[in-house]
Amino acid sequence: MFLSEMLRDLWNNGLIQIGILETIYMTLLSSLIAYIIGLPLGVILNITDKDGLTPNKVINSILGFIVNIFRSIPFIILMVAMLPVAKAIVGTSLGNRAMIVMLVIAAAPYIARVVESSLKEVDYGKIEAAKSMGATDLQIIFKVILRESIPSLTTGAVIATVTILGYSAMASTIGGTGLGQIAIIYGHQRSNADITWLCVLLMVVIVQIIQEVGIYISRKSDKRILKSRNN
Amino acid sequence: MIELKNLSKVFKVNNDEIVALKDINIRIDNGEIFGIIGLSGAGKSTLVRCINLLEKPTTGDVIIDGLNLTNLSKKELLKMRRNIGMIFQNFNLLEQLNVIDNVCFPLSLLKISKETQKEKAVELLKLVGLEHRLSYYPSQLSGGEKQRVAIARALATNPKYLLCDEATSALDPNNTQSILSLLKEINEKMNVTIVVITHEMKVIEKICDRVAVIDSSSIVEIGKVSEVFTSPKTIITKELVLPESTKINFTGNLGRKIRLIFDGTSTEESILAKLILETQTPINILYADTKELEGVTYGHMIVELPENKKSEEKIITWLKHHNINYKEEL
Repeated sequence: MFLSEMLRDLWNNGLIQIGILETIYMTLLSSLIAYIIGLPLGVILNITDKDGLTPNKVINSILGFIVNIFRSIPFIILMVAMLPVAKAIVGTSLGNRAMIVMLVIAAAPYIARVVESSLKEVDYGKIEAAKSMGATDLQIIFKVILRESIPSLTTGAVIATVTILGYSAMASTIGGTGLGQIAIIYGHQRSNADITWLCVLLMVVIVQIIQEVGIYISRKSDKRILKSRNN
Repeated sequence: MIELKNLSKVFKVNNDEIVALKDINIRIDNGEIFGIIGLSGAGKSTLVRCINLLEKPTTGDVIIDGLNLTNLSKKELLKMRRNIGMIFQNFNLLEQLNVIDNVCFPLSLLKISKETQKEKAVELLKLVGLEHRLSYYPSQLSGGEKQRVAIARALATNPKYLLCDEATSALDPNNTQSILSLLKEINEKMNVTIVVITHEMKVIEKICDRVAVIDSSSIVEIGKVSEVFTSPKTIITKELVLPESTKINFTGNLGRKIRLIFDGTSTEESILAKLILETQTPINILYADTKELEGVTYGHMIVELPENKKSEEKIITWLKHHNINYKEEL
């Protein structure tokens, strides 16, 4: 066999299996927290836009500016710069807890923009119709804007999760664990190309699964693509 | 009763002021179907949005049942809007909700039990003839069906008024006719006052009692449909009454042109045949149309008289003698 001894050791000691779980855990947890923060930011960006439900130039420009700053810093630099912030929030700048803080800081502004663009797809006519029925702004946000964009929001969430998966691999350069760390420490630094490639393959598989499941859910939830009449 | 008093609306776009409505005064009585007709860009969509304050008028008052909407607090205004249903050209149904949930939507904004909502929705969907489509989604419906759902939805809160913004403009002629009949039925059976915005004269003819013609942000003519139709006073109204294509032919014709207007009493007889036979003078028909308004048949005819002065006189005298209305056409 062409497999290196180290790969066999790693597999037999269950390190690769743990790496897979750690990658999935970090990705999903960071995505969830980043979404909880990014979703309301995206809603605010959408409704305060000049064509939005409650235009507000000041809030929109300030929030848009902050989001753009975070979006324009490459993740690898943002990560290093945010180490003290991670320390302030979770008490340490090392390990996965700190990495999750970093991932959330990087991903939340990204998600805010993804959400904003999903919500923009809702035709203003629907909002106007709800207004004509006496709906309050909050009712319009929850019952019209968000509910009408669920399929698009799901697709956006999938794309964001895949991006975060990539970030999580990068986070291993400064102490995060998971498949990225295995690829760097055992694959790159000790010149075992097979370990690097195995990690790549596993990442591809994880991305594919997230992507396929997400798109399936998005399509299933979208009532616009039922074309045929059922009865 | 809806009263618009000295209403005007100015939009500010990049330091430019665009006047959308200028000094509008309209009174819409309870129980009538009131039409507002105009070409696109005339301001009619802005005007109808001022009635439920989706657009806030720059100056002037909107008074509904004695209540001045421009003075209401936001909360009171939202409550008032439940009394004014609205339907749109593009239906604006929620695409992720099925038919029954769409109709329940305005009720779901209030604190009303699910069962009461469904009961009301089914009752309304029966009224619009869609009780067999309850669990369908909008993407599975035709344009006409979507507008029926929108009508049911607009009626869910038992409004006294219904605003229709180009409600039939996206529909084919058959669906247009059936939606108009449905609106008429709602007006008669449920005593809902309806305001219809359109650019099509045939919509006005079919269901409206009175009509206002809007041109360049102002109301230029207002009155009973039969009056406005038979004696249009302004160029814009003539354009709306006479389809665009018929006017092209007129330029090549040099003789004096007059418009004959028949009311219900004279169309039964063959006036034109009589005229030609009795005066022994040939005339050229440039345009002819008959329409039924409020059960009475009205006819329009634009004819070109011979260039010969004597024959022209003869025809005019004949028309006067037989009490037939005519007007000079330019």
